[in-house]
Amino acid sequence: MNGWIWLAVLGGMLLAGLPLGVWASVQRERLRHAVQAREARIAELAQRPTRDALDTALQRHAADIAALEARLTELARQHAAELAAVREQASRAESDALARQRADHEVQLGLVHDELAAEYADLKQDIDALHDIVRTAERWHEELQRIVGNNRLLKAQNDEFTKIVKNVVMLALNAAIEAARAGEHGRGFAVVADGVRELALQSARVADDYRRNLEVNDLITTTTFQDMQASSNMIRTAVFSLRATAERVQQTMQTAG
Amino acid sequence: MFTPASIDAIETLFRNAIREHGGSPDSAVTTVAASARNAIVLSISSYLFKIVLLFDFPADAGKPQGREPAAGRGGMPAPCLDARAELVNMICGSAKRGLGQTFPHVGMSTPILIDGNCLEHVAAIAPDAQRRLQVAMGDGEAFACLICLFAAKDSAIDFRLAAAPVAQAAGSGELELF
Repeated sequence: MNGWIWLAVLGGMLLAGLPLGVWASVQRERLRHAVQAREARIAELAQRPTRDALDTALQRHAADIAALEARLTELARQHAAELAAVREQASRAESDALARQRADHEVQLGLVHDELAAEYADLKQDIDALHDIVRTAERWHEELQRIVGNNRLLKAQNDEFTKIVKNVVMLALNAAIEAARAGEHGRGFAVVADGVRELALQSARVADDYRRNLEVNDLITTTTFQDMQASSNMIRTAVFSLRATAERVQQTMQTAG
Repeated sequence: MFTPASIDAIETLFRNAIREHGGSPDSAVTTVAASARNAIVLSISSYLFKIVLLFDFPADAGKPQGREPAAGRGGMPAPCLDARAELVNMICGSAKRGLGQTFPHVGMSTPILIDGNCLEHVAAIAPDAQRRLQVAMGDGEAFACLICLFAAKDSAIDFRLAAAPVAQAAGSGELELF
């Protein structure tokens, strides 16, 4: 009986001990890995520079940087100085060139101005000459009045002639009557009287036509002359506005020059 | 050549000018056939056209006559500047100002007094168009105004009065050249 218990216990212990053993070896393995890692880490860390070494290196680098900064500042200053010098030179050259250009332009402007002034003088002369043309408008008014007056004279003369002709007709009529009264002896005279009357009537018709023609003449002459007058006034307006424009040109030239 | 609308516009221009100077251009009173008539002629010219105005005044109305030619001056009449010629001058001046808004260069002649019988022979000057206005003035005077239009060769004139004219304005409204 004890043997079986001891076997059972042994078996039990074996059974328990197996996973324990496995577990222990796993743990041991883990531990070994951990230790290896730690050792590796320690070795690695040992290879890193120490804090002091780092400090020294930093100091050294800071010194280098400071030196570089100083150099850069110096270089920048030099470059700025050179740039300023170059710029000044360029601007001087530019202003010299500009000054030369401006001198050229002034000379050219002066030439153009002189040319314009000469042409303006010509223009003004032409405009002034044109202006005198408008005086003819006044002259035409007087001349037209003279023509119209002359026409009136012609009409008056014609009227007088018409009156005379009417009198001749009356006279011829009377002569015919006297001739009739004289009977046979007056026949020759009657013929003459008739002839005179005929001529007088014709003259009256001619005088009438003449009067009508004088009236037409008056109208045509008047309208023609007035057209000339009005046209010359129209030209005068145009000349005035030309003159005003020319004066504006002159003012512009004066302010520009 | 004047378009019908432009002829109307010109007539309106003169109607307005007449009203501006105290006349009524629509009078029904026809000019009394006077024993003697006076005609006052005035021309307005531009490159494109000519307008001849014939004002028909009765010679024996109450108003003082136009100065007739003084016989002793060799048939040369004194300048015609009496009240009627002055009126004609003012009316035409107003109309011309109205034209001037469209046609910058328009000239006007002085008014001339001629025999009224000349008015019978308007056909002899052959206008392209005519309009006749019968005018009664405020003071009882009546006269006729004949507007004769002549277009320059190859010109086509067509304009309208753009705005209703103001009676007291110097111009008679706007004319637009189409």
